Amino acid sequence: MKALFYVWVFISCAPLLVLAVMTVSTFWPYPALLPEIMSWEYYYHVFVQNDQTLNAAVTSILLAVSVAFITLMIAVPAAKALTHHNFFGKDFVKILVLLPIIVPGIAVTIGNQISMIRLGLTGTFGGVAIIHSLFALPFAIRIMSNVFEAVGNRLELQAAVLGAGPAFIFRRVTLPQIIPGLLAAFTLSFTISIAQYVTTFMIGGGRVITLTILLVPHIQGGQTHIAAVYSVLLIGAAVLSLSMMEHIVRRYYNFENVFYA
Amino acid sequence: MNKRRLSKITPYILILPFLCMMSFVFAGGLLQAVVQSTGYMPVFGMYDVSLRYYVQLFSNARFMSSLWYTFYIAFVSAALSVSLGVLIAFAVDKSRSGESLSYTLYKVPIIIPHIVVAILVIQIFFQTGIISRILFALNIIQDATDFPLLIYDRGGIGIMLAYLYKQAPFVTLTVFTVLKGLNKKYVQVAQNLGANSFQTVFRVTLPLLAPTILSTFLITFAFAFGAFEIPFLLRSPARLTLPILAYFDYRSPVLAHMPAAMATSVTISVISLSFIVVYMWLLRAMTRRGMEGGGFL
Repeated sequence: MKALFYVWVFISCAPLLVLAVMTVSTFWPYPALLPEIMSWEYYYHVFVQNDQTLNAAVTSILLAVSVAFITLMIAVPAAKALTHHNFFGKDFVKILVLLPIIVPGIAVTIGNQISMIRLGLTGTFGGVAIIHSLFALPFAIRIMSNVFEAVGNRLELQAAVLGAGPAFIFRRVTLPQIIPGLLAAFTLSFTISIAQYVTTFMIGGGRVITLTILLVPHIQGGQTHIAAVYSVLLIGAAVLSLSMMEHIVRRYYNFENVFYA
Repeated sequence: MNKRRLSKITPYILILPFLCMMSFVFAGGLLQAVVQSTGYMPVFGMYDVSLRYYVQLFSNARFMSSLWYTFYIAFVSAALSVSLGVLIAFAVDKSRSGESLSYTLYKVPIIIPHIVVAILVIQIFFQTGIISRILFALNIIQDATDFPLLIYDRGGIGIMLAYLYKQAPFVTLTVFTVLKGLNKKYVQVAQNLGANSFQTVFRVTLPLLAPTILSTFLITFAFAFGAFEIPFLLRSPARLTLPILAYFDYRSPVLAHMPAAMATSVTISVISLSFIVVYMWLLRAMTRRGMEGGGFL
């Protein structure tokens, strides 16, 4: 059993090594196991010869950060209501939360494109951010519900009894308790947004250029090595911005290991 | 307004942003698709409302073969992902390496974007890919063409491999979380009563995990059914899954294809929604039989 687990860990991680080798293998003819010529040529092509790359990286990151904020602003109150309140239609809302996971994105996006054209949101950053948020919401609500369940609402009730107002309670009692969970939900929403392709392509209408928009034509054109460089950039951008985010949050809130989520 | 009344409307205020998002973006999008699937598109001067696009779809051989193909891919990849994922969850549980590095590493595929997974599947499983090169070095094949076509193939093997890589760790993560929290007393009682490890797993642990396994199966199935990127990049030109079919019809310059795309879209949504109904029904049947719930849903 233990061996099976380690084999699986190898299968999970070895492809990333393949990806790394792909980006530097300039000449890798068929039966050779390793590339015969290695160079930074593909990186040169992506970063120097294509002036869209850096803009796309910035757009991808800004978009993912906006999506994460929009998602959290909707998910946190919703998760709070679903965990600590009883209200009419709660079971129905719980099913609603699942729908964006279950109903295929393409079906929702095709329908939405027309509404978005009408609202003037097609081809805009905001329109793309809204559609990405829709698909991140179920995951964020799920995480935040677990968090609110683990934290409970006794301290909040205590603060309310002592006369604190809702804004004060949220800032001084709720927020410090849920910060690690917020970070987890932020990370997941960010990751979902930065990996989107077809929603960005359809709602962005070719005007919102993210890394995935630049990447996909290279796969279709058979230039998988250049696509690999974009992939490394995509993963690198995500890892870098998320660790920066975590670093910033940790400077303001010292928290121990995440015990839920 | 007194405090009591305020606390009564609080949950509705809290849930309002979510409901707005769901009604305007989600339901709004689906409604738009439903309206246009009837052929009602005033922008293009089409005012006839009818169900003929649905009738046309279900009598269209290309659509029907696409429908079954999508079911086949979703079912096989979900069944494989769940089996492998549960097996690895047991392995993780046994190896008790809860804190070690490999415990983090097995989750790596969850965060790799689907597009990147497609690139990797091409590089590894294509006829001139890594596996083919290894077989060549071992003298098992003499030429790249001896290696079977696993990508862009009619059987959709490349697509399913990509799903398996992405989804098995997700299943493991979900099942392992529940497995950790399971009451170990049941297992101990079974062992005390003389059950061997095989019996313990199949008669005690797996039935306890059944609701979780069901919910992860449903999620992986629904995902494979409706996903776009992976079948888009690894498809055979001869066979398309429904989301790809809808996409091509939607982008087709032929105006009459538009309502067809919408009707395909609506069909995909209706099928997906029926998964939830089936799930709820099965879950209720299981809870009646005294199984504990859990899992992602």
